[in-house]
Amino acid sequence: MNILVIEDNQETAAYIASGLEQAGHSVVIAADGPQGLLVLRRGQFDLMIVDRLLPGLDGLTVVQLIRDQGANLPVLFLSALDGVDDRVKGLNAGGDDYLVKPFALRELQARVAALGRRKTKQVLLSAGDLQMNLITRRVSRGDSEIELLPREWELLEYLLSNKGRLVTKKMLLEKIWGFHFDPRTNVVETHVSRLRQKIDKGHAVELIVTVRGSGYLIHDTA
Amino acid sequence: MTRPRLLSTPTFRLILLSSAIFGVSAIVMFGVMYMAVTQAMSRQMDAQLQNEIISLSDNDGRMDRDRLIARVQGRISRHSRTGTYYLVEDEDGTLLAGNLPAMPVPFHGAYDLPSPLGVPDHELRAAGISLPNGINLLIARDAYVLDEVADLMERTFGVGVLLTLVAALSSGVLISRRLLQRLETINRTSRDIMSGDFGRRIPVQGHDQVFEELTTNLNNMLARIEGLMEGVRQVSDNIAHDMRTPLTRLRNYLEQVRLSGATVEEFRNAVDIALLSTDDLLEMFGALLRIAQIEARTPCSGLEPLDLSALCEMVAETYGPVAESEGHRLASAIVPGLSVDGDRQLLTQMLVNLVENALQHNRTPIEVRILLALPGDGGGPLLTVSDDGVGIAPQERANVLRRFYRIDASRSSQGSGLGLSMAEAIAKYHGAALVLEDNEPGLKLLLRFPTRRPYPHH
Repeated sequence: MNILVIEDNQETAAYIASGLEQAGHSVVIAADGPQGLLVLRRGQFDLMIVDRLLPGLDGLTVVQLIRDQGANLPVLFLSALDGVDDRVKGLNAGGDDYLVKPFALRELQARVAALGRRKTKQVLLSAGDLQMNLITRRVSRGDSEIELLPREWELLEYLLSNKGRLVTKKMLLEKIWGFHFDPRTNVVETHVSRLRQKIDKGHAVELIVTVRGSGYLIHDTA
Repeated sequence: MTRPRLLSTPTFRLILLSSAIFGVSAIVMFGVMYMAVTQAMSRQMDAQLQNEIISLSDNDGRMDRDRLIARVQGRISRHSRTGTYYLVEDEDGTLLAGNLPAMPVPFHGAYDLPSPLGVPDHELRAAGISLPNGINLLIARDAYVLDEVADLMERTFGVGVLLTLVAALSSGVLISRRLLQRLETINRTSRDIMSGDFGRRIPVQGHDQVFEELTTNLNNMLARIEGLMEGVRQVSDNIAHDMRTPLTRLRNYLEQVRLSGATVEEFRNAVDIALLSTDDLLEMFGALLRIAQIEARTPCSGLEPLDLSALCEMVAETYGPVAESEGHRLASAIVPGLSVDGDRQLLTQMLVNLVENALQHNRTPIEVRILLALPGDGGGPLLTVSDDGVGIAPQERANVLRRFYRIDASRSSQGSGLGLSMAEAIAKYHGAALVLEDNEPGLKLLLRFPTRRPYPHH
C-alpha cells in the first residue's frame, strides 16, 4: 500500500516508516498538516496515518478537511491523548481507527493491514473447510455444524474478515469487548481458546494460530 | 493594623459617605424647621403687640390723652421687668409717657428697634400706631425670647448631629476593625500556608453567617488542595521508588545478558524480555496518567445515561470463562434495567479492575460475585463485588486504595498496585464512594451510585 504519514516528530515518523516498510508498504512522510494536504493531492494513497497533535493545523482539522473534500481513504489517528473523549473526537472527525502512543510496531502493522481491507464486507466468510454465513448465521466446519455464543461469533467473524493477517489482542479487546485498556488477566486468550475448542478440536489442521506475544490469525489454508 | 489601612477599608468609606449624606439632609431639614419656627414666633409676637395696642387704645382709639397716659404709666410700673416698652408722644414729638427715650420712629406697622440699653441680643420688636386723637403710640418688646429659642434650636441640633456623627464614625471604626481583623486572620493563615504549612486552616470565629460560610468554603478548598498536593507528592514518591525497581531490574538483566550472551538467539530472547518489561513500565505510566486525568475531571461532568445492568452482564459474561481458566468461579446476580449517569469506558474498566483484583490476589480457588441491585431507600443502584478469598485486614483497607500499594509484593506480583486506586478515582468521578468491607471470609467492595439527575436537565 501507499501510505501517507503526517507526523511532526522525526523520530516517531522514522519509527513508523521502518515498521511499515518492513511490512511491504511504501511510505511518504509529511511533517505538518499543510504539507500533508499538498502531498495527498499530488499522489495516490491507499491509507493515511495522522498524528492528532500537529503544529499549526492539527490532525483533527486535517482529516475533517480531506473528508469534506470527498476523500474516502482509510485514516488511522495516532495520539498521545488517551482520553475517551479524544478517541470519540478522532473517530467523529472521520478517522477509522485510533492508536494511542506509545505503540508496538506489530500493533501498527496489524491495524494498517486491517484498515487496508476494510471495505470488503462479504456475506460468506471462510477459511479452509470452515464456513461462516452472515445471513443465515450458521457456522460449519466440514460436515459438522458449530454452535457459537454471541461473543464467540463476533470473535470468529473478526478473525475471518482479517483472514491471513495478524489481529492483535488490543484490536480484539477494542473491537469485540470495547475495552480500551489492558486487562491484567488473560481475557482474550481464554475466549480464543474457547472458540478454538469449538472450531479446531478434532481437526487435523488448526485454523486459529497464535502469534506469540502479539495476537492471532486465521490461516487461509485452502 | 495601621490607621491609614483602617480608614481605607470599604466599610469605613461607606460609613463616612452615609454619615455625610445624613449630615447634609439633617442640616437641610433643620434649616427649614428653623425658619418656620422663627417666623411663626415673630408673627405671634407681632400679633401680641397689635393686641396690646388695641387694648390700650380701647379699640376705637377715641379715648382721651390723659386716660391713655395713665394707663400706659400703670402698665409700665406693673411690667417694668417683663421687657415691654411703651412710648406715647403727641403730634409734635413731645414725650408724654413711656420708658423709652424719645426717638424718631414711624408710628405704623411692625419693625425691629435696636436695644434701648445698648445690650446686644436684646433688640426690640416694635409696633406703632397714630391714633385719631393725635397721639402716637409705640409698644415694643424685647425680642431675646426669639433669639433664645433660635439659639436653643441651633445648640440642640448641633449636639444631636455631632452625637450621631460620632456614633456613626465610631461604629464605622469598630465594624471596619472587626472586618479587618477577620481578613487579617485569613491573610495570616494564607501566608502561613504559602510558606509551607499546608495543614493550617482558618479558624471559624464569631457568628456572622456570611463569614462562617466563607471560612468553611475556604477551608474546604484548602483541604481539597492539600489532598491533591498529597496525591502529587505521593505519585512522585511512587515514581521514584516503584518505577525505579523494575527499571533497575531491567538494566541489570540487560547488563548480565551483555556479559554472558553468546548466540544471536540468546540476544533475541533477551530483547524480547526487555521489550515486555518496558511495555509493563509504559503501561504503569499510562495507568498513572489515566488516574491523574480522571481525578482532574470535575466530578459528574460529561456523564451520560447508560444501562449499568447491561454493562455488568457483559463483564460477568466475559470474566466467567476467565475465572474458570484460573481455577476460580464467577457468579452474578444482576437486576436488569438499572441505569446510572456514567462513562461507559471508565465504568467498564472499574468493574474489570475490581473483578481482576479478586481473581489475581487469591491463589486458592474462590468465588467472585457481582451483584447489582436497587436498594429501596431512594438512592441509586448498589454494585457489589465480593469474594470468599483471603480478604484484606481492616488496618490495610485504607492503604490498598493508595497508588502502588501492595499488601504483600511477593504474593501479588502480577498487579501494578494501581487497580484499586483507579477504581476509586472512577467511583469518585461518578459521585460514588468505594467502600471496602469484610465479607467473612474474603473482601467485599461496595459501590453506591447517586440517584440519577432528572433527564431533561441533563
